[in-house]
Amino acid sequence: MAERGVLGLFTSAEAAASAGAALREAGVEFEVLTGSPYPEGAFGEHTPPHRLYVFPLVGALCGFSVAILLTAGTQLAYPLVTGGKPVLSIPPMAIITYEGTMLGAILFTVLGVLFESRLPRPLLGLYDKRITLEGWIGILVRGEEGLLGPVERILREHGAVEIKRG
Amino acid sequence: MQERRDLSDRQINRDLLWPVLYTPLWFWVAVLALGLVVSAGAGAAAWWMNKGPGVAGLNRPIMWGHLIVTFVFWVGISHAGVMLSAILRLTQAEWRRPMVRAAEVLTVFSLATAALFPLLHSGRPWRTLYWVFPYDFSRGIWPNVRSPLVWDPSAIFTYLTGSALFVFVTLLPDLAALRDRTTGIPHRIYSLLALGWRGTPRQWRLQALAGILLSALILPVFVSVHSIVSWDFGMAVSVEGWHATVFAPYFVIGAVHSGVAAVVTLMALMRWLFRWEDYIRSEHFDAIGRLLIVVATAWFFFFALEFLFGLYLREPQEVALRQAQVFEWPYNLLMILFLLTAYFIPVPLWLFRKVRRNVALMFWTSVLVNVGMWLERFLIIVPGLARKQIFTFEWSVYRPSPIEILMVTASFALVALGILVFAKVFPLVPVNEAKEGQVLKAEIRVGRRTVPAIVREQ
Amino acid sequence: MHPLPRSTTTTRDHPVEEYPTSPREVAEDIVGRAEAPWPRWRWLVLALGALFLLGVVGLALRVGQGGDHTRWGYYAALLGFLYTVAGGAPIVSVATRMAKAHWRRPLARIAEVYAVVGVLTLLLFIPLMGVIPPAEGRNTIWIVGGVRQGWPPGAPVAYDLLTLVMVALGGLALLWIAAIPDLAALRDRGRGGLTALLSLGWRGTLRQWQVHRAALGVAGGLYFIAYVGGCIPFASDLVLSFVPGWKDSIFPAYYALSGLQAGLAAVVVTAFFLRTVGGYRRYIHVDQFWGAAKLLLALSLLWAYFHWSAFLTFWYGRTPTGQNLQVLLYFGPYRPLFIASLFLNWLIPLFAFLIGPVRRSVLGPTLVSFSILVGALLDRIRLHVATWSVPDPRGHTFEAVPPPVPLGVADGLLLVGGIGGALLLYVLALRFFLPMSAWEMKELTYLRVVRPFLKTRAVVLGKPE
Repeated sequence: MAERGVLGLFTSAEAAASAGAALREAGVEFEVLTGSPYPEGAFGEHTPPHRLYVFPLVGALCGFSVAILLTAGTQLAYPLVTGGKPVLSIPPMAIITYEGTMLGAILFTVLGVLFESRLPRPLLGLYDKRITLEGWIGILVRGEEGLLGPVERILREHGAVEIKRG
Repeated sequence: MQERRDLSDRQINRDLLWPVLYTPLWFWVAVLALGLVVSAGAGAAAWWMNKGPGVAGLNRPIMWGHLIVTFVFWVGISHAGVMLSAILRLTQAEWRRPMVRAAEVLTVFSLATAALFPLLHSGRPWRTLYWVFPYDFSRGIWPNVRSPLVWDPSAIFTYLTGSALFVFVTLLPDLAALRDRTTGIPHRIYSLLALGWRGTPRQWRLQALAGILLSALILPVFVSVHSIVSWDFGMAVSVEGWHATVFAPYFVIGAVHSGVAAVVTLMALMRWLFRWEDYIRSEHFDAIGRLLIVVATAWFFFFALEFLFGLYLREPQEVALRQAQVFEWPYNLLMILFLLTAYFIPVPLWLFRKVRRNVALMFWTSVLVNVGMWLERFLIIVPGLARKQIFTFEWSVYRPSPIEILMVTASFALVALGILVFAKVFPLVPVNEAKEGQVLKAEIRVGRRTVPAIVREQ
Repeated sequence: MHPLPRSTTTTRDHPVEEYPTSPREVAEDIVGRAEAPWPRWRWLVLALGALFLLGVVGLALRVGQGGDHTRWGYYAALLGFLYTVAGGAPIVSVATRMAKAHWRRPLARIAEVYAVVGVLTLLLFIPLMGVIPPAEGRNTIWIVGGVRQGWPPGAPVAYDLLTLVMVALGGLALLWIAAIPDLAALRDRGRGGLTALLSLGWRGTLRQWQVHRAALGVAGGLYFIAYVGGCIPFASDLVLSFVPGWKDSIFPAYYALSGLQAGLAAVVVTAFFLRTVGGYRRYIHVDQFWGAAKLLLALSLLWAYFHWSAFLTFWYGRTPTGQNLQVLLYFGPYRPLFIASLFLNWLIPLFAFLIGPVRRSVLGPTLVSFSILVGALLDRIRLHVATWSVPDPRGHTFEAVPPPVPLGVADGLLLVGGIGGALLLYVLALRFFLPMSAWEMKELTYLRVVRPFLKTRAVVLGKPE
C-alpha cells in the first residue's frame, strides 16, 4: 500500500508532548514540526544521528590542497626573488594556505548543514503555516493507510486542534 | 536587572516582521538621502578613475591617505559580527539574541565596502585583477604571494564568503516564517530561499550545530583578517612606527573595539526606528557596555605597548615620529581627540550602570568611539608616511581633497543603505532566536524573590 | 512556582553527575571535613619540603660558583615560570567570575590559592637583584624625557621588585577577600587564631554580601591590571633587554598570555587531583573540565598567534638583528626547546581539543594541561637561558649568537626545588583556605536546578543579574 501521512496540530507544547509520548508507547515513529527550537527530546522524539563533522574536515583538506598548489604554483611559475626572500617562501604560503583551509572548511560545513538538514526540499508536503505564524506544534506520522486511523485517534485524544491528511 | 517580556509567537512575528511587510515613509526618505550620498561618492570615484589619483591630496611620501584609513576602519567594523555573534553563541550568552543578525549583516556590508577602497585607490581597479588573480594573463607575471597586499584579498574573500554564508544559514528559519506569512511573488521568492525548511528537530539541531561550528570556524578567520590587514603596514621596514610585532593583535583588538561600538550604534537605531523596545532592552546595552569596558581596556593595553615599544630602541627617526604625533600640529590635536574619544570619555562613563542602561548615552558614546578609532588609523598611517624618509626636505603634510572626503562619506552611506535595504527584505532581529528565548525562559524561586533563569539542555 | 526537586538520576543515555542540592549539604561536606586529615598528607608535605631543600642547595651551589648573569638563566627561567603560572592562575577565577559562568565555581578557590606562590616568587627575585646588569647602555623601557639612561633611579630592579610586590599583595588580597565567608564558617566550627582574625568578624548580613561582591570585583580588576601590566616591566627587563637591538612590542603580551594558558592548565591539573584523590568528585564534574578545555583551546590558539605575529615580523624584515634573534630563539641552539613547546603548548592542545569526546572528558583536558605546563617550563627556559646567555647586553644591534648554556647540577636542583617549594606553599594554603569555595557552591544550590522539561530533563540556571 502507498505510504500516506497524517499531521496533528497542537496549540500547546504540553499537549504535543503527551501525544508524542503516547505514540512512542504505541511504537509509532513520528516527526515534530515547530516554529522555534525546543530542547532535544522535549517531545519524546528520536532524532537520528548526523555526520556533520565530516564535512568541515573534508573541506579543510580540499582547501588546504588547493591553496598549497596555488601558492607554490604561482611562486614557481614566476620565480622572482623579492625582498631577499626565497622563491618558495613558507610563511606567506602558510598565510594563504590557512585562509584556503578555512574557506574550504566553511564552504563544506554549509553544504553539510544543508545536506544533513535534507535541504533543499522542493515540496513542503504535509505542513501548516500556523506552525511558524501561531507557534503551533505539528506531530507528523507517515505510514500505511491502515496505521493512520489509530494514529489520528491518539492525536485527537491528546488535544490536537486539527488533523491534516496527505 | 532583567526586563524580560512574555511574548507569543504571533506577537513576535508581528513585531519583528513588520519592517519587511510594511514600509513607513521615513524608510523612503532615508533610502533617497543615502542613495544621493552614495551616488555622489560613485561620481567622485568615477572622477578619480578618469583623472587619476592626482585628484587626491596624496603626494610623496604620503601615498596612503583617507581611502586606506577608511579601508582599515571598515575592516575593523566588520569584526563586530564575529565578536558578538560567534563568541556569544559559543558561550551561550542569552543577551546575544537581538543583536546577532544585525552584527553579522554589519560585517557583510562593511567588509564589502572596505574591499572597494583598495580597488578604487589603485586608480585603475581592473588592473588589480592582474595583481591578485592567480593567472598570468599572457604576460608571464603571476601574483606576488610574498606581498601582504596579496594576502589581503585571500583573507577578505574568505571572511566575506564565510560571513555571508553564516547569515544565510541562520536566516533559513526566518525565511520559512516569511514564506508562510506572504503571498504572491514575495511568497515564491521566500519559498525558494527557504529551501523547504519545515522545522523538524533534525533541522533545528543542525541549525544549532551550524551556529556553533561556523562560529568556531569563523573566529580564527576573523583574527587572521585584521592581522593580515595590519601586516600591510607591519611588514614594511622602511616606514617608522610600522614595523612592530604587536600590530596584528593591536589591530584586531582595535577592530573589536570599534566593531562592538558600531553594533551598539546599530542597536540603538534599530530600537528607535523599528520600535523594538520589547526586544532590544536596556539590559542588552548594559551587557554590551560591560563587554566594551573590557575590550576597550585591552585595546588600550595594546596601544600602550605599541607606543612604548616604539620608543624602546630610541632610534632618532622613531623618536621624531612620536614627537610629531604628540607635539606637532595637526597630529597633536588629533592625538588628543583620539585618546579622549576612543577611551577616556566613553570608558569612565560606561563604568556607571545608569549610563550603560541609557540608550541615548550608549548611542553617542559608541559614535564617539568610532570617531576615535578612525583617527587612530589616521595617526598610524599618515604621520609614519610623512616621516618616511630621513631627509627633512622630504617631510610633507597631507591635506585630503574633497574627492577623498566625498568617497569616505559615501562609504558610511553605502553601509547604512545596505543594512536598511537588508532590513526591508529580511528580519534584522532573528525571529527564531526571539521565539527560542521565550521557550527557554524560566524562573527560580529563592525565598521571596523570583530569580530569572534560563533552561539549558542537560 | 516549581518546587525545587532533589536532583536525581539520568537523562538520555549516560549518568549525569549532580551537585549537592542544599547549602547544609555543602557546609557539611566542604567546611565540615576541613579538619579531617588528607590522605598521605604528611608524606606529601615531606616530599615537597625535601624538594624545596634541594632547591636551597642548588641556590647555594649557584651562588658559590659565582659568574655573571650568563650563569643565572635557569634561575631566571624558574622565576619567570612561577610568576606567569602562579600569577596567571587567579585570573581564571577573576575572568570567569566576570563572565558569570556557573561552571567556574568549583575551580574558583583552586585558582585563587595560587596567589600565595607570589610570595615565593618575590623572595626568589631577591638573589637576582645583584645579578641583573644595570640599565646603562642597554635598551630598556625605563625612559623619562629624552634618551637618558639609568633613569628613573633604581631602574630596572627596583621596579621589577615593585611589580612582584604588587602582584603578590594583589593576589593575596583577592584570595583573602574571596575566602572571608568561608573563613567565617571555619571560625564558627571552632577554628581560632589566624582564621578568626582573617574572617574580620563576618556575619553574613545583606550589606556585607553586597560590599563583598563589590570588593571582589574591584580586587579582581586590580589584580588583572597588576598581573598583565606587570608583565611589561617583568618581560622586558628579564628577557628583552638582555639582547641588544631586540625590539618586540608583542612580547610582554605574549608573556602574559602564555602565563594565563599555563595558569589555567595548573588549575585543571589541581582540579583533577582534588576530584580523584581529594574526594571532591561531587563538586568537580566533566563540566568544569569541558569549560576549561574550551578556554585552553582559545588560549593555545592565541599562543600560536602571538608567536606567529612576532616571527613573521622578524622574518619579513630580514634585518641582521632580527635574523640573529630568530637563530637564537627558534632555529639555533635552543631549537629542540622551541619545537617541544610548539607541540606541547599548541599542536597537542589544538588537535586533542578538536575531538569532541576528548574536550568533553575529565582525562583529556588534564593530560593536555600537563602537556601545557611542561611546554611552559621549556618555553621559559628557552627564553631566559637563551637571552641571559648573551654576554654583553649593551648596544643597539645583536651581532653574534652565543653558544647554548647546558643545564648544570645547580640549575637542575634549582628548578626542581623551586617548583617543589611553590607546590608546598600551595598545598599548605589550600588546606588553610579550603580547596572549594563553600559559599559559591552554596549559592549554586539555589541557582541551579534540574527539572523536567516536557518529556526530557533540563538544567535551569538562575541569572540574578
